[in-house]
Amino acid sequence: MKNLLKLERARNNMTQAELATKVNVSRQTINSIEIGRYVPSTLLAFKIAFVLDTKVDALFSLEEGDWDSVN
Amino acid sequence: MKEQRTFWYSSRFKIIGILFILWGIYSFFVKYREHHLWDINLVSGLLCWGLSFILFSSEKTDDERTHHHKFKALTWAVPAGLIITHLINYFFLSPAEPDSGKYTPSVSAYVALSIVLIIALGLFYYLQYQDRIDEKSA
Repeated sequence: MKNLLKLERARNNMTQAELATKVNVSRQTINSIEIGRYVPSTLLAFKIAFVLDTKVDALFSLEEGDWDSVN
Repeated sequence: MKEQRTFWYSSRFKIIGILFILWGIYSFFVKYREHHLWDINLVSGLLCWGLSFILFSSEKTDDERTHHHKFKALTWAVPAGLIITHLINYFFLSPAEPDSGKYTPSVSAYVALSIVLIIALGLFYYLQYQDRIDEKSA
């Protein structure tokens, strides 16, 4: 799954630590999502989108390989 | 939408877990010194309690990524622990023949569970460590 988290976070002038505090997760979790190592739950995705004042589907999008692989 | 609490006890219970482990190791050596017995069941029983408190208590920063790591660690640890238990039984406890009319010997449940919990805990901290390495290299 692709995401524009890093871009949207920069647009909002927010550090990983600040975003992590606002959505109540660790900074490592935000970093893992940004580098595509971890796919967040629906609840966390909505929280991140809300804090960054955007929509979930603007932040996260499916890739070709997402249809035939499971993390 | 209210998030459910995954782990029942707080991170402070890790200290209780460590105390259980130390108690187990101390009891093991006391029994060996006084009776010259290698009581593996005694130490592994207390090890199980200690490791359970450490693994299943919440972390300082407890989030879904941490829960994912614990789940991943357990999915590897359970089959790996099962394989190790079988190998110990096979190589060290001289298994009875299927038609011998004897019970099949096996290590105790405490020992088997200790093996699983040790692997799970080691793997969990390794995954957490990997995250920190990735963060530094990003």
